[in-house]
Amino acid sequence: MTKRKGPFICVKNLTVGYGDDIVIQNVSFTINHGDIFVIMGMSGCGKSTILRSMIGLIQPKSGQILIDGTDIWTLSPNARAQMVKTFGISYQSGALFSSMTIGENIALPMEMGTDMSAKEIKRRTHEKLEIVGLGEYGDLYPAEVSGGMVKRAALARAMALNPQILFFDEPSAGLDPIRSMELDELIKQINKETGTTVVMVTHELQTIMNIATNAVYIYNQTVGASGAPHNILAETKNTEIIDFLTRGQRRRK
Amino acid sequence: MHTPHVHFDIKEQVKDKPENFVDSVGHWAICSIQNVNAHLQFIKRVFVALWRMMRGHADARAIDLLREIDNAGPRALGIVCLISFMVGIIIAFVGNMQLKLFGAEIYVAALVAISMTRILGAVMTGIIMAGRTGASYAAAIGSMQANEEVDALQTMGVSPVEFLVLPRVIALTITMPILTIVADIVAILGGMCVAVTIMNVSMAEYWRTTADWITFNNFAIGVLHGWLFGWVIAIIGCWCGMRAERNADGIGRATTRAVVFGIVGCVVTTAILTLIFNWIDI
Repeated sequence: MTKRKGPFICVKNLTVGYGDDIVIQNVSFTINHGDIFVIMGMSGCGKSTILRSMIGLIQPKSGQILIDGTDIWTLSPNARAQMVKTFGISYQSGALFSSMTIGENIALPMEMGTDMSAKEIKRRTHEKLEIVGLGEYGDLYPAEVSGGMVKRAALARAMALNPQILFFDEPSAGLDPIRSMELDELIKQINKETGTTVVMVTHELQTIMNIATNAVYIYNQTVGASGAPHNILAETKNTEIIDFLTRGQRRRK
Repeated sequence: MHTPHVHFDIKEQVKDKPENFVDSVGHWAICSIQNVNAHLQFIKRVFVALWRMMRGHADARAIDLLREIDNAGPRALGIVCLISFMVGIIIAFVGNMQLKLFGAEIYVAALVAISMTRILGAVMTGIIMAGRTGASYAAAIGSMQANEEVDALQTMGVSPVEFLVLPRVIALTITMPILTIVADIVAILGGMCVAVTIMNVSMAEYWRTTADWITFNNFAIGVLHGWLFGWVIAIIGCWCGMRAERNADGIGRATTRAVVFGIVGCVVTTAILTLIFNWIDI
């Protein structure tokens, strides 16, 4: 993959809600090619809602989501589905199909979305399994492996079609700090080697500080701060953000 | 590839909470209309998916269809046979109580054969399958909603209706008529057990009477009932799963709805078919 630079995803004045309830309002940020971009904030602040809008699952009430200059919500449903299909998405729960083996789960996007031969699908499935360190576990069912392995399998499935963008919703939710750190390193390595842009929703401070190149903090339904996490911490005066990024340590001092 | 968005939840569309009785009635009426409309849309999508599958364009896999046929067919045989056998015994016992007053015990065979082949075989199978398979469809798809698997399918460009609903609907519409025929045969065997052991009717006599009274029309009507029940139960089960709320409580409610509406659907279908066949004198 050739590594490009400059703005890739632009979210402009995004307002999203459910029914009459507005969850986020006038959110704007830009994600550059090759960024590991984190959308962070307290639980229930609307981080996942932004992500779900970006992957075509929740229609915004207003605003734009431009991906490589194309507003995904002005596309026809079929064209949008075609575009979203090119994204790699890893869900909070992993969202692996329990009736399929891990290998079959990873093969599914290739089987359903491309004309690849069975041999090629098998080869690429094995390649993705190797990347995430699950080379020997392709024949097991999701219920037969640990939570960390499910997350890695979900990452392998997200990478199946070599996407330009990888979306993660709380990738380390439910993992212990060691497994969480291993997953962070894996994401960082994939980003470095392939130049894939990563968009991640998380409230895991360790993950944010370890891997984010840029971030936004969602506060009071909108962007409370943006920039590199360390810069946010250095510049913000918002006590909630300071508490969040220092686990409350700075205020206690 | 055509990938319709799944949006079957009507809760978002009706926002205001009713404040008084008139509001409540209006709210209920609007909800009901929207619900019926959403259900009709869902049925339309299933038929569009079926059409796409016939043209070889659907996002469905043969392996999923085979698994669903196995689940809704061979694996359901045990319970269908058990219940049908019992129903055959019950009909024979109850029939015997009345028929022996006239010395017409042998007509127990006719009573069991006609009632089971024309309607009861299909209705009993429908009720069993609504409780067994319809509920499992709602629970499985509801869990997939909660586990974001349906979202994952959508974002992979795979239609959830074609991938999850279609194999289940086809499987049940294939297996239901077969299960109905099996239920008919097993119930007749149940009736025969009672006739032979209690009413001193010979096996040969029972079979001969049964064969005399079973008509092609009755048999075909029973199989038609079974086939339609397959559609009704599968579509209701999948529909309830698709619109399940994304939590354990929501999945429980979806499962309950699938069973209740599945059984109601079978009974309403029977009532409509009975009226039609009565009208055209079959």
